[in-house]
Amino acid sequence: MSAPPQISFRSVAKRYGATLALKSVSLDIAQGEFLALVGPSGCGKSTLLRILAGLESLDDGRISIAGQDVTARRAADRDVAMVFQSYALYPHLTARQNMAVPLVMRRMNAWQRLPFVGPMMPGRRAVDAKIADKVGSVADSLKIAALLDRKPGQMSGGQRQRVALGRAIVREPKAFLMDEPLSNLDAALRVHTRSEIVDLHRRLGATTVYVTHDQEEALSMADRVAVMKEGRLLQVATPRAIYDDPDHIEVAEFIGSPKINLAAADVGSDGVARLGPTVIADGLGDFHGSVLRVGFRPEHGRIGPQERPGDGEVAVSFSLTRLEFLGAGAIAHGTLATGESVELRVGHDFVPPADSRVFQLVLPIRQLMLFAPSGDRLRTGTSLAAPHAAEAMHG
Amino acid sequence: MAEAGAATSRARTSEVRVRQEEYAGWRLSAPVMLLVIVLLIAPTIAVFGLSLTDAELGSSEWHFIGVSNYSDLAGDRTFRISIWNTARFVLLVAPASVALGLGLALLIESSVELKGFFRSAFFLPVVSLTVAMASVWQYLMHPTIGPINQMFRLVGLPAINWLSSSDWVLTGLAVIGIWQATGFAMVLFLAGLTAIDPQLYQAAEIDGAKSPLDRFRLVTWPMLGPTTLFVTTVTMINALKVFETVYTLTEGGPAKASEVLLWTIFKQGFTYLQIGSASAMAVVFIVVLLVLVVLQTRVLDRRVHYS
Ligand SMILES: Nc1ncnc2c1ncn2[C@@H]1O[C@H](COP(=O)(O)OP(=O)(O)OP(=O)(O)O)[C@@H](O)[C@H]1O
Ligand SMILES: [Mg+2]
Repeated sequence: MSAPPQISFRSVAKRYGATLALKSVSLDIAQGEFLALVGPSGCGKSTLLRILAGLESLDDGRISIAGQDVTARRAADRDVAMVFQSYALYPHLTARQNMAVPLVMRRMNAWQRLPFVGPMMPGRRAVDAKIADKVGSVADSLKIAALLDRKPGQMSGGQRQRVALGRAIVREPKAFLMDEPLSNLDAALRVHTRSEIVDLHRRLGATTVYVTHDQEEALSMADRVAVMKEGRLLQVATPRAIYDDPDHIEVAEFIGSPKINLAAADVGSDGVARLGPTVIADGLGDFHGSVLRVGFRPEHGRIGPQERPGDGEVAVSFSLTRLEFLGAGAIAHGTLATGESVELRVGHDFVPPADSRVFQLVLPIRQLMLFAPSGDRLRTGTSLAAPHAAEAMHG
Repeated sequence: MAEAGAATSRARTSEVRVRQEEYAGWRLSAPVMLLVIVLLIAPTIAVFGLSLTDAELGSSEWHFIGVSNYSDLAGDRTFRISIWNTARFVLLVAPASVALGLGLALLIESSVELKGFFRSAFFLPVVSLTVAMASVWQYLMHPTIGPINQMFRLVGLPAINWLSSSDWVLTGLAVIGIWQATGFAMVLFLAGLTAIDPQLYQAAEIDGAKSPLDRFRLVTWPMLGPTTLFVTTVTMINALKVFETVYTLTEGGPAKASEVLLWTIFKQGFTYLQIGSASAMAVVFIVVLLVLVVLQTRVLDRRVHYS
């Protein structure tokens, strides 16, 4: 974090009439980093990206790219490339011409770009050759060389998407901005293109801001994930830290599929939080009388008729309502003794005995996450998350 | 056995349903088809039939004379002048009103505040009665008291006999024609502009198209292709049909300088009562219109739609 950030938002705010789309967002993105911006629909992801691109004005705050304040600079002068959700290719131009547009606009002067007489201007031939070279090599790397003479109307969604990527890449911009570039593709192609974009990022090493509402996409592609909610950044961290060590209950709930399980935990007058009868945290005197929430990931519990809690574990009773077989494993749907419905990942071999639907669910205490009524993560006074937090810091 | 029976009866019911749908389709479109036949197709056939006769208005006797009306037209000096004038009128009015309409649409689209006002202001000529407006133009273009000539004099230009000199009359009529057609073109262009995906402009900005001219060439003009083609065709057809202003202001004169097709047909039919040869002229007129429409739908359309 010692190198200066490639992109930096300082208290950026944006208002649309009465709605505050962004509320003082500050964020640094390092040179070469792949940052995923994730959050529910309407949380302001696109707005933040478009403000960074210069397509939208901001009401407050500053933005810098590569160390230069670009707040007042128009989009064309910010030297960023954008991949739009609907690709926004020029329908009257072939793939080759589409990809060449950013180079034509930047490398040719107004005279050389003139219709009819432009091709006769001095120096035009040399620029043409260079542009053709660049477009050709980018097309090769995206495996779309065969499509170069087609117009967007004659291409499939996936092919258009590649051409849009190509148009962004040819220019070697200071940053790539992508707004849900995969959401118009079918599921199989989406997973495939996902890894291609990651490969591409690795090869080019260009700073990338990637907007998605798909948490799986964010976790699998990004170096860091920024989780947004209602115009605010809830947490910015590595995918692992976001998943294992969320700062806020909204982050915990948004990330992970199936969703994190939440159960209520009372805090007694002794400042001790209990899940059922078992003590799971202490030193919570401040929260005496309030109900905290305990979160645990679906894969973190063991269930079985014979399971007994060991050292540092807690057991609660769990009654199975449905087993959803997924092939490699299964998801056990059921309810806790305290009434909350939960989902648990169980192994492929898990077969519930015919006579009993009630099991012991054993959870390691260190993998429980405690949330205050405000939704903030509680790490103080507990022995729970300490080791994880420490790992995340060093990781 | 039972299964086969069920299958045939199902096939029969579906056949019946198809026939019923067909019947319903015919029934629903019958009124419109009837109107089209009575108002468009039958008169056209009648005109074509009449063009092969020596029919005269008021005379009950007429004979089939083959194509001799058409061969007469080839040698008719008035008709040749009329075609030449109409062509010049179309070439004056269509390009100018398309260009002006596009320019105005771009201007209006770029200024949010005045949009509503301008939209109605420039659309006024389209909805107003041509005959009524013609007298306003007669005043505006009056050689001595007309404001246009007064302005000309103010800047030191010679006054022009807009509607009564054979050198200028077609230009004068073209000015009125342009004034009428521009609002129409503008409204169509405005609709075309709002249909352009704003993301294309954003992509163009990010790609470095900085000047308005760059954006126009990269996005606006190509995306307006279908609109421009349509506007051009319709404007040309409307210009071909120029009649009201000629009828009220110039009556084809002076010295046939504003003799245009519809006026010639009108005079031939209703002044000289030569229905047969007027019909032949009308057929020529319809053929010209058809050629324009076919040109639009068959040939050019393919170039401006990109999918
Ligand atoms: N041009 C606009 N005019 C008014 N309100 C807007 C405009 N653009 C966005 N908003 C509002 O700003 C908020 C954030 O919108 P934004 O498009 O950034 O959401 P998003 O996170 O990208 O959502 P999605 O995942 O659905 O794309 C929303 O409440 C939206 O209604
Ligand atoms: Mg969005």
